[in-house]
Amino acid sequence: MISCKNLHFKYRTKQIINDITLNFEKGHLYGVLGPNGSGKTTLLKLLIGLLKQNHGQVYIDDINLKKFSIRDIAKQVTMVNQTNYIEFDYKVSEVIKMGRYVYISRFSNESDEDKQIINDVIEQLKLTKLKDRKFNNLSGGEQQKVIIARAIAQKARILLLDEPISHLDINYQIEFMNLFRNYVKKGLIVILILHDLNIAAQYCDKIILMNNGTIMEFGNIQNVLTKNNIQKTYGIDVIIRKNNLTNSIYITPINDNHSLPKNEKSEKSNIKIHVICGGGHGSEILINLKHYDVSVGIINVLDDDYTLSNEMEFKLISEAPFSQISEYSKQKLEDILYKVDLIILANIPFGNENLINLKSLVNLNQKIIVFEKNPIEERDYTNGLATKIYNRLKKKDNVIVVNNLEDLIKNI
Amino acid sequence: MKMRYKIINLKRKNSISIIFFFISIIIILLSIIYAISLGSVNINFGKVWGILLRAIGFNIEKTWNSGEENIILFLRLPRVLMTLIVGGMLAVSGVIAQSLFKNPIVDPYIIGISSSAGFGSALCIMLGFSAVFSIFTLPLVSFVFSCSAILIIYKLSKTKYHLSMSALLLSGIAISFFFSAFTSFILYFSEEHAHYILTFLMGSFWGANWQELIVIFIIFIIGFSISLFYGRDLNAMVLGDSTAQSIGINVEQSKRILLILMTFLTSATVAFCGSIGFVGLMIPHFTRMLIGSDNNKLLIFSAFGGALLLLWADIIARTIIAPIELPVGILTSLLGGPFFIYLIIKKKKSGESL
Repeated sequence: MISCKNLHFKYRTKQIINDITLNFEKGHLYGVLGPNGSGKTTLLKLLIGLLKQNHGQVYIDDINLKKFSIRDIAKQVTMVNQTNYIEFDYKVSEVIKMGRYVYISRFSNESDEDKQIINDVIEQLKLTKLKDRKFNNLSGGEQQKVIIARAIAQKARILLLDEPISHLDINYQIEFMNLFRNYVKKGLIVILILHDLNIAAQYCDKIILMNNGTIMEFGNIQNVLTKNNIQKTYGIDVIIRKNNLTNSIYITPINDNHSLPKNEKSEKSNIKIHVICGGGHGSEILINLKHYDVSVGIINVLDDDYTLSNEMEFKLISEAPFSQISEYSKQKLEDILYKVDLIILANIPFGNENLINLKSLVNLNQKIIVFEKNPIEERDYTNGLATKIYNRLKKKDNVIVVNNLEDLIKNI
Repeated sequence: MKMRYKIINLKRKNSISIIFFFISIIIILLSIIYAISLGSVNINFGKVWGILLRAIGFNIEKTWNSGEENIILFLRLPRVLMTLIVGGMLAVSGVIAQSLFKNPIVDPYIIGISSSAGFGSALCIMLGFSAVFSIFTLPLVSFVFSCSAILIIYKLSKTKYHLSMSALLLSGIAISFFFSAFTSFILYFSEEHAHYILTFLMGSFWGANWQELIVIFIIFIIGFSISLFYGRDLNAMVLGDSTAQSIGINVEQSKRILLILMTFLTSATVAFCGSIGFVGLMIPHFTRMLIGSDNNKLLIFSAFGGALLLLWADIIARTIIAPIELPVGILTSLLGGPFFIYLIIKKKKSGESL
């Protein structure tokens, strides 16, 4: 167990770490998140004694870190740094062997046990083929693997890793995260600095969300990675959904409407837009509309576009799935369509259930943007009825037809 | 089967080092005999063997005169041993310097050890104090000057918790230029001493004797033995200070010890033999190409390499335009420059980083 209490760290006059108290338990994988400059690396360096705090204490198993010598610390905690450039040509096995230095006395060579541990680590991490190669001739991912192998050969109970998977390909990212999960299962404490919120959500047990040298939130993923917390630390809007495949949450940033100037945004936000979409065909449009007063419908409640609209807090006209559209909804749609300034029709297929959406557009006089990616014939499941109405709509003066997202946004 | 292969493989790797070790020793011994037999007075191999064996206690019939014995035992032998020890010291300092500064183009002179010593000696010669403490005056002055120079740049580069190696390197280079300028100044205004000063600055083994040899041998043995215990610290420090510390190395302490070691070894060579370029830069590189970068081995084999290089450089310096003797420092730089360029081209072709 490793913990810190009221940790403060100042560099010159800048407060880097401000009153941090944390407790890391055995058998957990911790992810440290936060924007650049929030103090993540400094926190790890304080935990291993590479930096000395101005106030506060670090404890390993309730023993103050100050009572440990550098060698004693290395037997308990080790750290993998962000950059791992080695000036001279070392062999892979030589680099891994450095992890055993703390156990080998200055006056002797490595013991059989040391050799055994080095060989085990090489086999575990599948480095057998690389062990006689030169470290500097390996790819970035392979180098990172060797550096991690060094840390594991050290047999410390607490591993601190500063961005171990940034700049790596997805296959290495997954391999490393699974590796860390494995070591956690064996009883180690692993603390990682990560950049990818989704990787963190998928693999970590607990998240430490940092901002400006303080802990914004610490705890389970669902409690820490909320829309509100992410908005506060990173200053971006996100949508958080449950990922049904991995059973974790999935975070998608919302576009900032192609960076409109601020005053323009607030001016435009009075514009009322109604979007007719469904089947997920509207999501690319909806995600760009967060600064407008948007309504969506008629749409059924199991639809992806429904979920998205709900998360973005848009007004909705909805129906239960697989049912005919009710008179009530029809009336509601008419009311809304009458009031809005602009209507967007997404590139959706038409069946008998949603034909009412199309029909109700024909007699309107506001600006209508029709988003057409595929010809209507390909998405008509009404034996030509929808095509007929659609073509009549396209001929009207108040209708603009666009076929890419950029034009659509420009026309709003 | 797999296990057995591993064991054989492991043994083979060690035995390569052992073979290298014995080959180096044999080559060095043969070179010593050869070097001793060379010189303006022609003394053949048989006599050289005889004199040497008799000197270490074997009862061998005397087929030579005492003049020849004196030449071998009091002129050539100390000189040859001196080249070996100084070469070893410079190469070991070079290994320490390159790993300590994590920089392959650094040699032990770069932080001003030789230029400060050179300035001290030049000053001493100009003021006419060069014999106040018998033959040890100039060495003592050089040693004091270079150690104080390192002390100054050490103080400049030290912060509360941390010794910045890049600050050390930069302030070292600055101080090195500063002292060189002063030395040039002295040279420019002291016509009668200019040749003496220059000879000292360029480095040579002229006039090596047993007294000096014993002093430098003691410094070498102490420095070299301590350095062997710090091979792994050097390895770890190449990975960067914070990684080295998380491996369990007391980085700041090791830095201090290694810096002191390097300063002592290099200052001692400069004090007795002047500044001999390129050994400290080239030999570590050359050895790395043969046996890899592990500093535990590198320190030992670089010492051999440095010893051999300087021994042969001195042989050439003595014989190439005999009876005139070339300062060995000129020769090492003369050969070292092109050789180094050859290494760079070779590495470039094979696509490796230097």
